[in-house]
Amino acid sequence: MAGATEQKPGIPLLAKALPLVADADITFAEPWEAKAFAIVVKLADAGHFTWPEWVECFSKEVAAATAVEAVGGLPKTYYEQWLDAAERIMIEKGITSREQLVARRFALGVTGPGHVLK
Amino acid sequence: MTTLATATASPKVPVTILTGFLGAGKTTLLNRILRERHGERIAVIENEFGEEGVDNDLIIDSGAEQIVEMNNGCICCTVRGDLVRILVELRRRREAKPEAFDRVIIETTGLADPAPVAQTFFIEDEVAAYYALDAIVTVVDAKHAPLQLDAFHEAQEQVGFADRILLSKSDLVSAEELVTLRGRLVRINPRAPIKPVHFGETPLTDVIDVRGFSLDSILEIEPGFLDEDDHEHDDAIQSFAFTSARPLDAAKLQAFFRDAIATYAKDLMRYKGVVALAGLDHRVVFQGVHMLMASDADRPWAADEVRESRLVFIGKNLPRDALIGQLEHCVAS
Repeated sequence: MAGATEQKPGIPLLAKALPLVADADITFAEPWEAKAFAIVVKLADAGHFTWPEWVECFSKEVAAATAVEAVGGLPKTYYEQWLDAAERIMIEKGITSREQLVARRFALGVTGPGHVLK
Repeated sequence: MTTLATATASPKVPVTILTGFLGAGKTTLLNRILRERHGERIAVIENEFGEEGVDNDLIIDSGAEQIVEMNNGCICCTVRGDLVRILVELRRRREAKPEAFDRVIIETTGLADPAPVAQTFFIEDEVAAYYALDAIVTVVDAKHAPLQLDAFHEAQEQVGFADRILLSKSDLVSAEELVTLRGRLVRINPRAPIKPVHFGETPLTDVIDVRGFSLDSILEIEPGFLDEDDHEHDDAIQSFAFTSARPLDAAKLQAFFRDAIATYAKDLMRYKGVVALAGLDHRVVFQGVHMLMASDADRPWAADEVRESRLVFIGKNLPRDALIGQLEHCVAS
């Protein structure tokens, strides 16, 4: 929980996320997008990483995805980039691991999201 | 490792499903548990009030069984509407008064299919968010089980679904009969330990915290099951195991499960495994009930450990040899 004290309580996290939104409308096309958004906000809120750390991580992810798209790679949606960044910061902070993400995706890849034993 | 769940959620209320065929002694057992001084406050949900009442101040009759099909287009994903209603009601009570109860035991009727009861805890969001299914505990009557297993597919299903089997009335049968019955139960379900229970006397720990649905619990296979050559028996519900000392290919194994689940659906009752996937240094654990499946990373393989994958399948009329053949094709090349 490095740097958790930098986060001043009472600052609305959402407001800080806004400058990164490409077009100003935050809408969720799929339920998972809202979930991914909420998970990041909640984890930051709980002190697992600071908001500036998240912004930095997300910016890197956006830059990397943009670079890939620029050379004809598969474009990623805003929340696909958000999710990739969320996974990366959660691995960096030890909240999950690459192995756990791979392992959890195993069942998901078999059954689809509607059939996971929670 | 801190998981996302522990980082964000509060502990869930554990639930035990107590099943068993008519007259096996579920109610006697339940009464013993409730009278024991264990300090646990247990809410009991019963399907029907039998002749012998259950002695508890938080007991709820769920009324008639109500099987509800979910709207996700999956024929396997039935839940018990009666249970959803009661569990949600109990949740509200406990939210208002947290000391109301610590855990829940559901006693099903002798003829109940355990699958919709179990699935209720995974499919219904409002239930899944608050409760965690600990295990299915099946009481088997040593005296009457042989005939019941012959005559009623429900009796076999209750054994097949079990995380633990409690054998009652074993004093009423000969040692030989007991050996035969145990062998039969192990062939139906090699992963549920069998424990004797006399006149309902069993420590609470035999019934709770079994962790049958925990991915990190040990995959125990009854000794002797893997070595057994004789697979000539009549029960429709049977099990088989597959082991491999060579790592498996994740994509191939996923394709195997997709196909097996689609093909056998309700006939594939429970499956569990610890596998070594090529390219991953951690053990991967998984389990499933019909079409519902979960997987997670377990500890890393030790340096001196044989990376042996072990999978167990329990189901109805599954083509064992064909499925094992397909699994052999999942070995990473």
